[in-house]
Amino acid sequence: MKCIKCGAELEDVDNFCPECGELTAKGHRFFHDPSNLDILNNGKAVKLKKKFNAIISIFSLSVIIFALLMIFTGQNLMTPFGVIQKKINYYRYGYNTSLIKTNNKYNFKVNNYDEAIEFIKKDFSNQLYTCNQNKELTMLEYELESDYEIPSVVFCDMSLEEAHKIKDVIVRMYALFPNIKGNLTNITITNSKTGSDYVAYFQPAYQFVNVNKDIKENNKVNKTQILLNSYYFLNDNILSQDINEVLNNYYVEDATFESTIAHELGHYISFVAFLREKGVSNITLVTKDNEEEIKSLINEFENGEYLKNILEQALNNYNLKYNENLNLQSFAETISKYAGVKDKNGNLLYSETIAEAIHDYYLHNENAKKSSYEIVMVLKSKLKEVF
Amino acid sequence: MKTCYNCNRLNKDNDRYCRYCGKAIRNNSYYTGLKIGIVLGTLGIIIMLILYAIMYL
Repeated sequence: MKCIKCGAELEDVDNFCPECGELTAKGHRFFHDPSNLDILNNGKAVKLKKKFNAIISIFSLSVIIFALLMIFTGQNLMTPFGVIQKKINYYRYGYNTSLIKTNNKYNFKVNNYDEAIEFIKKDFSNQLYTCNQNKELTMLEYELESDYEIPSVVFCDMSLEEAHKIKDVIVRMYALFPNIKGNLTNITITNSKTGSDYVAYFQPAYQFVNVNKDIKENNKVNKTQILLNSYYFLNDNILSQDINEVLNNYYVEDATFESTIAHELGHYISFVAFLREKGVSNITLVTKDNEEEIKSLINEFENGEYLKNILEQALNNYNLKYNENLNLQSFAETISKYAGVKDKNGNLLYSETIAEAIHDYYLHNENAKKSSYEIVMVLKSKLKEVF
Repeated sequence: MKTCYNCNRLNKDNDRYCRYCGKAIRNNSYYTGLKIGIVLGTLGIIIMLILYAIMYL
């Protein structure tokens, strides 16, 4: 007997052709009896396949529904994984942390300053999926970016109330020092290495693009950034404490966690004054033509001579005005403990003295310590001269 | 001789379809794959429910 479809040889007992699966005449008679249909509909393979199809269909449908929900609520599809990671971190460390990385390094072709700025923005915008979406927070960040020419402001999971407090500090600082726009590339929430080792931190030049590449073929990019430690700024229970009680009266009187942004902006202001005096508009894009100059500028700024000169001028003005005879160390110590801090060689850290003076001026204005006031006046005159 | 997974009947080695129930005769790895797919799919559904709970509850 042969199969009517493919012509294969069949045996008398075959219900189906073994070559093409076609029902045979014998099979037709066999399955005419309904009691024999069970094996067609309920065999092991049939049940397994039905189960598989059902599970895969439910899973696919749930993925589609979830994706649609995420899209319609304005979330990124990767956001849930960020939420899970943050919850794991919370159980691991005991406090809220950020997933924003500020130390990413890239190899990427950057041709000009505008492309460098766009790349800085992209470095952070690509990580925003790790943040809980909050339209009001996003608007606040955008306002700071556009009003103060800061390419990227990322507060991520900060509470709106806290973000407003920080915005108030920034707004007031730029009102007190109107000539400082244009050099800060980002203000970003991040994690410090050991949890609580700083409240906020200014980096004049963090190179993050083409760091190890040949400058003759690849431009490099520096960030001039203020970093906010998530240990403080994402944890309301810590923020609710008095900073000077937490940090043993380190900062000027009346300091708050938010006002430390004024201290960091103080570092930034010193850096801007330095660049302006050197006739350099920015150090963001590093090319083969300016690499040595930028390296030399950063070294010069960091060795402190420029800042020491500012302090000496202020000290001189102070001693003359108030008929005093202070030295630099005692002059600095009139401001705060932090202002009088020394490096490991026992030398005054001039940058911290100036930053604390500006912090004091931000908090107390005309009622700041006289030493702070003198320092701020010297700095303002330096900013005005070039402006 | 090989056994049909669906009805357990014996078939000849070169048969592509079971002579008794007509189902395609496949390697065991195919059915193992289906079982793994069921387990992973179920896990996937559970994960989706957990993600939904995290994001929206």
